[in-house]
Amino acid sequence: MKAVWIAIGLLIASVAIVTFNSITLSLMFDNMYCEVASASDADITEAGEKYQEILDEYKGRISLIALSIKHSELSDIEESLTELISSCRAGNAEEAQLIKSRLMSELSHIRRLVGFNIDSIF
Amino acid sequence: MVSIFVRTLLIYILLTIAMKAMGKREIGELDVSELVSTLLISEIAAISIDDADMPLLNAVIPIIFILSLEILFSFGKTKFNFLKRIMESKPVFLIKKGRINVNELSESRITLDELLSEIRIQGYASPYQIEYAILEQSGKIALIEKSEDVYAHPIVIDGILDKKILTELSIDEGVITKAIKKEGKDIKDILLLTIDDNGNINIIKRMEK
Repeated sequence: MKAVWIAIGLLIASVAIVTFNSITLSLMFDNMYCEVASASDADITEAGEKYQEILDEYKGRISLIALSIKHSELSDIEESLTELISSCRAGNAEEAQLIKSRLMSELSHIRRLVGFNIDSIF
Repeated sequence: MVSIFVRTLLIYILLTIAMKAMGKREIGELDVSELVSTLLISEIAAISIDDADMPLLNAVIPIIFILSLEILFSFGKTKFNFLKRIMESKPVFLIKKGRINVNELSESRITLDELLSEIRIQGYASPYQIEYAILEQSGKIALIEKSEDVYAHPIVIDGILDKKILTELSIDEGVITKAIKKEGKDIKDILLLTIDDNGNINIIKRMEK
């Protein structure tokens, strides 16, 4: 009987962890996606600063995110952000736009995976 | 390399705890759900050790989840008969009262050669020495040789009446009900009720709390 109670406890704990993790990451990546999308394409310097803020915030949370997201996917996002910042600082608007599209695609992919939806199951 | 070492150690500890929690039966005696759980857990563990890119939580959570389900499912089988019926197979009589049951052999996908081989392995010279050959849940074949002792058919197990056996033995349910009432009990109070080939009924009642 003790084992049953422990099993129930573990089941509730694992469901709670997964739910909390899913909601937290979902909100975080939604927020990140929106911030990247809203960065002004007109003023590339300002955009570069905004991407830098996003990257700093991302790096600050990465140890928590890395608990449940593949390291390679996290590295891809960090790499894209870094390249984006470099392009903005170099004043290369066209390249920045390409990298931004790629970054949004990566963020969109992770949003689908961490959320409660059919895509994340299949 | 250090991370692989640590991951392997953590998964090893988790697996040891999980297997210990699941019970002490040998691989050959695992039922369907236990076998599935064991296979799944070992597969998840192997992938997580091998793939350093995969977060450890992606292995730990599923293993804990499967372990919890397995323990709860095992407990549920003792409480809910429908679960037991779904997951556990009933023993099958391959030889009954000295006669080989070809239909059951066929349904169990066991050839006559395999049955004869098992009879020899267990030390019997011929199938004519065997009164009952029972294919157990574990997949092993139990042999009961012909003797003066008679086989006791379990009719009520843990308060549940097995109507299929009653039909096979052509015994009226009323006979069982009468025997239980004679003890002053209800069917739910019966741990085990058997009828042997001579028609003798034996009852073991549940212990009172």
